[in-house]
Amino acid sequence: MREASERRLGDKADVTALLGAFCFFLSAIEYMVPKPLPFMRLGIANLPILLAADLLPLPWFLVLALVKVVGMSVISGSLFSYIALFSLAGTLVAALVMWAARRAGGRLISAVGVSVLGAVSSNAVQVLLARVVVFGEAARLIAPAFLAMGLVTGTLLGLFAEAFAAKSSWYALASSQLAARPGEGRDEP
Amino acid sequence: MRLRPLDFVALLAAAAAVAMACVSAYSPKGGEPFVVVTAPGGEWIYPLGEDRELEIEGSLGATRICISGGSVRIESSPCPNQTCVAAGAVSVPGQWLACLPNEVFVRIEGRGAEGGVDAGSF
Amino acid sequence: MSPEPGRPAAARAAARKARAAEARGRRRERWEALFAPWALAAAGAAVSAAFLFQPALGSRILMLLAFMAAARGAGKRVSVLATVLISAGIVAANLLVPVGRVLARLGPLVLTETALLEGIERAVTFEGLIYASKASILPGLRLPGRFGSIVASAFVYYERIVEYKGRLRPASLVADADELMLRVWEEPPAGPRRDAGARRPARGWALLALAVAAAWALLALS
Repeated sequence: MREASERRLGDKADVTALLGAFCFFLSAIEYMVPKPLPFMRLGIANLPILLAADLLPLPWFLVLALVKVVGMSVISGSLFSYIALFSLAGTLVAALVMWAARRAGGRLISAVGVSVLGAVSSNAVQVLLARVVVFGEAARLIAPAFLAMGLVTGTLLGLFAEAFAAKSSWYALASSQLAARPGEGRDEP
Repeated sequence: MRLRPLDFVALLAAAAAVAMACVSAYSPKGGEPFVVVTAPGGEWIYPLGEDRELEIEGSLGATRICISGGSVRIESSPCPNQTCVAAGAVSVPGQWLACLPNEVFVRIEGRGAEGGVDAGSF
Repeated sequence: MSPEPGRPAAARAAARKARAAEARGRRRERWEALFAPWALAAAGAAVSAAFLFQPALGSRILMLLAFMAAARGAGKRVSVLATVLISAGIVAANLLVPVGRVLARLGPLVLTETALLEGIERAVTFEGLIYASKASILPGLRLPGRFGSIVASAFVYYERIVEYKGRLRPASLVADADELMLRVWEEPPAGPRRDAGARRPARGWALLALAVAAAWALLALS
């Protein structure tokens, strides 16, 4: 019994690692886009998390969020800086909001709504943090641009996620494997 | 694909958040009043909304000023008559406190005073 | 002035860029041979903590400069211009709300002492942590525990994605991304590469100990 449940966990760890790797890749792409502020993010690295809202149970979903933050911080070498703190706060809030929206909304909401809510709340938290850590009161001046950016990128990411989930054979494979009985899935080495 | 009902709710909520942020960012400045202190040694400015204790050097010695809970008062003063301490707290733009012997002048500035309505005229 | 100034200048600039990248690569290799990733990260954490606790602005600026030098030594990109611009932005933002003694007035703008110092301190702290982190976090860092092993497999997948030879075209992004996911997922990630066991010279350990001791000594002195 215990062995079986561990096997299933291994399965999810594998999907978590793969999705985490995609977060790193997307954030590397995002890194090439010039931005006026070092912690300003388009948020495309949240795409795998958006996809995972339907694939992974909550604990693994949160592990994915942490893998994204820690892994990205190690690759970019920002683990001990405020950048990692912004990334942690933004990612965790986006993840929790997207998870809640996905589960509460059911069939009444698509990835677009989920993604927009996640992106805007994530950017709002980062503005609040920027107010405490770097900008002081003046942070409210950057809030409109940050939130508007979340609205736009959230919508675009949501549209892409819908298209991907509908057409992707990887996505179909992963969701069927994760739903499969223990033992039928693939083991983590 | 077609958007679903709650997508529109989400988009509206996000747009509302952006609108609120715009209102907060671009509303005319001066909404929050400031405490302006002038003394022989210079001029100091502090937001009225943040609690803090100040010691401002006047011509006789240090005047202690306390900003707390959105009002400002003179806590102690080296002057002989102590009228500035007795004057209590002020909190409205246009109001002021002064310690003439020590040459320390405290006034509240903000939108109310600039709007042409002097608090003193009430 | 040469008759065709554009091309030779551009070629020279490109050559200079290539030389700089090469030199950076050599510095990175030397840095990685000198320090074990976990020890460097631990020392980085200890130095960063001393930096955050450091109350004196002058010492913090000194530490920022040392961190920039260390990040350069680690073969990381160090841009003085970007650092100055971002710091100026942070200071300017902090000056928007006047706090403290009035130093100067420029029309409606008031330059105040406390706001200025606070802005400088925030900018220095922000940039200092970035450079300390750049110098002390190597991509080869492996975290302990089950979580660490998941991050390690994610790195393996990440390398496969980066080395993926297939195409990603905007017109067929969904299909191409799907193909990429399937290719990368085909094989389970092999166990993490083990080079952390390689021995490092005593000089590296001594340097790390020295850096940590210096940071905390500076804190004790303030």
